[in-house]
Amino acid sequence: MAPTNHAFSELKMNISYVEQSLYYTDDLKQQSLLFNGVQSVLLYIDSLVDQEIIQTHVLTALNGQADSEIYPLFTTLESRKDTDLQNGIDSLIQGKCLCILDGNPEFYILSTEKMYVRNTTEPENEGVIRGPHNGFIEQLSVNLNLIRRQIISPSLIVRYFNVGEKTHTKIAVVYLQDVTNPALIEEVKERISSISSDMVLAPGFIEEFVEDNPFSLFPQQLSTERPDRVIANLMEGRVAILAEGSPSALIAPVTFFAFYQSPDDYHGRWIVSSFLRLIRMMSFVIAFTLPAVYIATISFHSAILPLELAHTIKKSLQSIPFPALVEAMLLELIFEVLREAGVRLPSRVGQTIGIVGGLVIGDAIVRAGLVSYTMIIVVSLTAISSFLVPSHEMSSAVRILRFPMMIGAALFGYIGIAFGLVILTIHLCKLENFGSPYFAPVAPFRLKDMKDVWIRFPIWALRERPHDARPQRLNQQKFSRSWKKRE
Amino acid sequence: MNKETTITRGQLFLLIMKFEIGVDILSLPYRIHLLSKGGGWISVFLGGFLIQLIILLCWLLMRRFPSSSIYQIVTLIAGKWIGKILIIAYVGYFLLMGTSVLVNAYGVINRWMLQDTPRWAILALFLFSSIYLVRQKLRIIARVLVLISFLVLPMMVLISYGIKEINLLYLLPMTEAGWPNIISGSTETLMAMFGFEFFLVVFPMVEGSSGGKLKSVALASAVVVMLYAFTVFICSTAFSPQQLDLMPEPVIYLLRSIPLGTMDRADFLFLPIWLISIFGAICGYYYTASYGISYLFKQKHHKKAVPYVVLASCVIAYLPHQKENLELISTIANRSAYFFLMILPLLLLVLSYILKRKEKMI
Repeated sequence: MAPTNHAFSELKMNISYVEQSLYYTDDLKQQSLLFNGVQSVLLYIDSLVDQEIIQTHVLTALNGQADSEIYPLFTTLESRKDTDLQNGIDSLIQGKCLCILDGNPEFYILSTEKMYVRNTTEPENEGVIRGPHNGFIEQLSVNLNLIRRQIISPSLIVRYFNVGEKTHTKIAVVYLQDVTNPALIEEVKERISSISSDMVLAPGFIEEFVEDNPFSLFPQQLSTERPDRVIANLMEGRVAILAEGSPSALIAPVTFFAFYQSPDDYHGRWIVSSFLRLIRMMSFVIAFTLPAVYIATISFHSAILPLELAHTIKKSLQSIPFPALVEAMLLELIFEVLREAGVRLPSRVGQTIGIVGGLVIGDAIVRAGLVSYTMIIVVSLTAISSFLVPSHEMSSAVRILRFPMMIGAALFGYIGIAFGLVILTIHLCKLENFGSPYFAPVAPFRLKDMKDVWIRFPIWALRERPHDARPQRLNQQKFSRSWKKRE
Repeated sequence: MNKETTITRGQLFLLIMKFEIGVDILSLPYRIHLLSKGGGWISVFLGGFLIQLIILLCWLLMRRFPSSSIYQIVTLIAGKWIGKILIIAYVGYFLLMGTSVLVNAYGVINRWMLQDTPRWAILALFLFSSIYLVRQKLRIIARVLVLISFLVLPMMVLISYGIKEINLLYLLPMTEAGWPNIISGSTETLMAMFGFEFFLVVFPMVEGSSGGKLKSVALASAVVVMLYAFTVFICSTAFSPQQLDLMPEPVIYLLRSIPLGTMDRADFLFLPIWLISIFGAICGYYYTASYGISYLFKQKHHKKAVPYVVLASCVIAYLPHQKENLELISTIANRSAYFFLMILPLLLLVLSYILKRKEKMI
């Protein structure tokens, strides 16, 4: 049969064309019925449609009526007329149902998709104590619904893209028209539309396709499953990228410090939140420098320690056969192995890992004289610190970071650590994503934006949006507490 | 000029401040003490005043060519060929200054922190990190250096711990050395303050009026003079003159003697911080040198010249094996500074007035 787009008037030919286009897949169902004496057929893919919808909305409608036009019958369903069979096939694989009448080159496309909807429960790795407890799910329309419900504004814009030559993944770019920088919107759109790949798995694929610095260790887009986090970032003039089949929204551009802001910060009292944030930043530094500092101290600069402490540490190191670096590497690697083993195990087996890792290895390795107690303390502190980061990607980045630092410390002592920090700083200053500096507001230094970085100022003091995403309007609130003046 | 290559006046201020606080902060109190005894801090202020004059002189020259760096100015005034020679000379000067700082930094690391680490290893550390930094756009270099310049704060906090030890009587008699010596002591300050010449190159790339730029540079120098005076003051009161005679790096001795909480050796904390600061200063010199080379070869970006500059500097720093030769590098660099920062700009300024060479305002 010659490839054609226009539907035939003969029913048989239409059916065989569709069958052939779908390579006679077994789940293509056809249901013949008689409508006003005309032979007609319902075509649909069994695994995609909701049988109940077909039964209640299609079949009863068609059976109950006689002597009338067919089109007005589908009042309870979204439907449209078409003559292009290729469109019909595209609709079929999206879960729609075709109604074809004999002797008529027009057919009807009826929306009968079946959706399996998970509850919008709180994401497990981004829980908060106070604040909304819902989260995104694997369905784009639900996720957009969650966002739109909370930003009720005509300027909230959604732009759809279909990427993936074979998978046709639907991607939605969400932004606020009158806040987000137009250049940024254009840049995001351009980068997404230039994705050319058979398959696009969100969010990982999208992230790697659009990011500026693929060779950097640091995540350059914030990936979150929390609607409130997305909304807060949209309001700061950033762009969110959501995709069908993924519960994560990617937010771009973000700064390094966005990874250390937790939604919890904005629901607690500001002094408490500031304290927690300082702890988090401190833990960032500890997570990648502590083992290095320890190695440098005991192998190069033990004179820095007070005498008593130096004695204690020297005593615990006496029976250790390895240099400090090997000792640290050994323990760090054991920890990484345990962590990776624990991640994908069901929680009941996970406990076993905890016992084997914590008690057996932790205690036995010291008794066996392979590792010193002080090193155990250092590595555990580091491990815990690395988990304080509210973002999983950043936490992994930080964990990797400590290995080069350890090597630097073992080679050059404190000097090595100093240079490691310098190189890290240069790298962070160098990174830009979507034209925004990654290390803002520290570099370029901007004191005004520091209000929401190291500590969180009271909400009413955050009069301006952060500058790094270059929003169209900086001002985000007027003085909400003017009643205070009247007292 | 596109936005990617400009820096702000605030950045200029911090950068100049950063470059001026160099290696010499460690040894300045000793060197000044040798000449001017208890009047050391007067020498520092005198030197600071001289520096302001030199900055003013350079600025008068730069002001006549608001959108040119020193490299363009020498070609504009002295013509193509002499200009080229002068550009090479300036590049050589910046390279030499960078190398002299590098050599001194290596010396301090070697003496105080890593006695057994081979020189090539430490130089390699400098080599790779400075190539990584200097290859970036000016704006990013400025961002990094601004962050590094904040390290002046902890450095000063650590030094100010010395306040506990001071004995003001050590300062007296203030003019023990006599005024001629105090004045010649101020040249030591001059040497310690080199680094402001960075503005000769970046001047056109700073946003703002030329008067405003002068203000930034002058203010930065003034702040550095205050910090130097403070350091000299602390060191010459915390140690007796007899002690100072024996300490080439009194600041480190000072920190070594102060227990800081649970830390027995505060100098181990101070030196890495100081070293990062020095690293910034070295990168400033490398940038100016690479910029000159890229201008000489009409390259758009200074990126390509960077590895050669840094490598050359590290090789020069590696070659000498005697202590005297190492010191020779800094001596030559400091001597040539007078020529490149005072005599030559003055000459160019006079020439530009005589030849009526001035950039047309666009």
